[in-house]
Amino acid sequence: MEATHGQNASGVGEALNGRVIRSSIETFVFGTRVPEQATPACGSLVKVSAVNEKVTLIGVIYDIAVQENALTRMIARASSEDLRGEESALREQAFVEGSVLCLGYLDARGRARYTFPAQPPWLLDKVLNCEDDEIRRFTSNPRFLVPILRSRAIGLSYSRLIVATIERAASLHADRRAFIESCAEELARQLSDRPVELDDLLRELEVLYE
Amino acid sequence: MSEAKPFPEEFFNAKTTASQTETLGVVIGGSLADGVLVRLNRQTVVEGLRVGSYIAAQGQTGRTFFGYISDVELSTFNAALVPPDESTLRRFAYEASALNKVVQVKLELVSENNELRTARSVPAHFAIVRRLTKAEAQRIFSSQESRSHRLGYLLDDKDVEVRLNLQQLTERSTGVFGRSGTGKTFLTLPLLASIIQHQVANVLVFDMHNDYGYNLKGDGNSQRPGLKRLSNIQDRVVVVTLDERSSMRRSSGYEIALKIGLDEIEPEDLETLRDVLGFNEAQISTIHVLPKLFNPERWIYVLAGRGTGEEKQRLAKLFDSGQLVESTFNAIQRKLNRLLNFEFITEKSTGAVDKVINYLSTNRSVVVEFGEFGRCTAAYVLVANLLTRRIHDTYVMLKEEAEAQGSDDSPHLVIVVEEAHRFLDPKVANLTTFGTIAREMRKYNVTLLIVDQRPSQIDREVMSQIGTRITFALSDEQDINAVVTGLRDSQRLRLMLASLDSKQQALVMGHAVKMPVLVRTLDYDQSVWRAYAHSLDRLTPEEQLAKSLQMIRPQVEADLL
Repeated sequence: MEATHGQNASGVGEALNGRVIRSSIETFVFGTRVPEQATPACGSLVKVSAVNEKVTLIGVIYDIAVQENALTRMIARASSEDLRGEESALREQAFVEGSVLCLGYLDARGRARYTFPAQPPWLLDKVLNCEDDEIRRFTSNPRFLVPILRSRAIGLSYSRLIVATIERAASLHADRRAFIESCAEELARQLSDRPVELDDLLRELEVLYE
Repeated sequence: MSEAKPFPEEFFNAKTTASQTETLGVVIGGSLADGVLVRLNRQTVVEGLRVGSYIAAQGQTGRTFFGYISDVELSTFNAALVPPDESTLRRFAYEASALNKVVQVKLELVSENNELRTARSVPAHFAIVRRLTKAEAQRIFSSQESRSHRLGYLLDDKDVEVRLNLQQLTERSTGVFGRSGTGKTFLTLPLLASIIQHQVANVLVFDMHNDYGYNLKGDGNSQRPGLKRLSNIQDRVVVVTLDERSSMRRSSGYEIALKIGLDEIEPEDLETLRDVLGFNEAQISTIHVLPKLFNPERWIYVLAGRGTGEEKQRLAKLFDSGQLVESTFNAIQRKLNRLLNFEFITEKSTGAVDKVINYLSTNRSVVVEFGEFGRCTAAYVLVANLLTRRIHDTYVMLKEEAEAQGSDDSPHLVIVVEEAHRFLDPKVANLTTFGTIAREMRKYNVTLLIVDQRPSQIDREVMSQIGTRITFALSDEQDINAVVTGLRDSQRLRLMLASLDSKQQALVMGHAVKMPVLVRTLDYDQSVWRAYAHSLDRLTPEEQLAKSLQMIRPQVEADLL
């Protein structure tokens, strides 16, 4: 499955075209060479067609690392105009690693499931930005937030990830405020034992709600 | 102080609805005994739901359960929640998930196979709870019997009439309770008019305050028609006065001036005055011994100081021999002196009491106006008790005769008594005929309609026999307890009573209603009393003139031609 070209509402800049380089049931890492302006964004939903392509795994990018290579340090230290061409080439095609948290998958009938797939994505499986319609379908139920809240991989930065994810998805829903309300309701239910964190999170969401 | 905002209609969720689509919440637990718990939807405004509001719950098996809200509770999953300021999103989120709005619902009825029965089970978890539809409310609260009385409207919904089945109401005794000025008389008078109009029973009113006969005093100087001025029933109402001068002063007509002969008074009649006149045990014993010491028909004359010379000599001898204690006798005389010298007390019976009983036996209703004597509790208690004792005897006889003839058409009588605690106080309830009627006269077709401000002073056993209780606002805790004591769910009913406003709001419970109902009672105004008037009387004077002209016009035109 190839990503569509052009601007994608869920991502930034051009379409993502990555490959899985490490994976587990809960998380995976993809690598890709992208220009600076097309760097994937935290909170973007991506998909991997996996498990004999019967399901489409959906995940959210929670970390991005731009990798160095042999030239990077040289160029950084050099001041010569001679390396300007090299630098430009490097910036145009930097190697980026994206860490993705699995949120669930779309089954063979296109229904959203908010649990881990039976198997992790395989090495070199293609990682693409989700289509707008897929995002709408997957986020129509606020249960998509639960894996983020329960993930040990993300740690304390989950609240920023949640806000970013909701912000990106909200723009695709016809009733933006209703979507944010349903997310806030789910968060209040899930974080009922963590009132201070809940309140902080809801305060952040209020900025989107206004 | 800022003014309270009105409840938005769409959120109020307490009125009945034409459809079954508007839900309040779902059942989340509870029991039949304690009431089921209903978690309200986020949209339901909790302030719009009050104790006593009626709801329906859809069961799993097609049955519909009906009940009323008996308590309202707020809770939270976490008391440490940070209160939102004016933020709508945070408020929304907390309301939707972390905050609980729960109402406790007492289930009373279940609709099974199109019949209303007492609820003996509960709907399952997550059963949808909604407002009553208008049709359901009418089915429950508006008796479809032709012989019914419009008491008022549901407190929650002025579009649903509350109608009492008069047959059921009069089968047992009824209590109308409430502190002064709450609307007891405005409710009782049209209720009696309906009983008379529909010929459900004859009525005997002991009218302590002269309200029921000709004119009922309203607020200020307003006057409203009494039973005798309601043209549809006036032929079946007889006004009897104890105080002719008062009747004349008030321009209140009467058929009979009621006189009580001394020879009609019995020791039991005086014993019922124990509290009112402050008789002690020795004095009561003396009253009872007098008929044995004198001629049984003459003892009262001796006591009233109207004995013959011979009787006075015998009295002196009794004092001398110690058979009577002079000081005790004199004390009784002093206490009775004013009472036995009232104008309505005569030397001999005038037959007026028999006339009253005769009216009641021949399908007439009687209002006994006390005039100025209404201010004398002793006079009121004496006359009411004496008449009732005679009536009791007559009705027992009539019923037994009817039964002997295999028929069941002996007349039904409702005795209306104000300040009922005077007759039904625990100390005298066993002695008075009122106590007997309250306890056992249902089988003789005589029941009481008690109007009282102090139900706590009425004998508990008598209270337990009251079939239907119509209770306005009460301020005394003991009175509130007395009304609900012995009833199922007394605590819940207490809450409902406590929610009543001080005027024209009543809780009706018991035999004549399918479940306890909070009623906004009708004002006794033109719209009410016209229901008891002939068709011409229902019109305004201008309308009556126009109607009369219309009726005579053809004749006049014919004559002119």
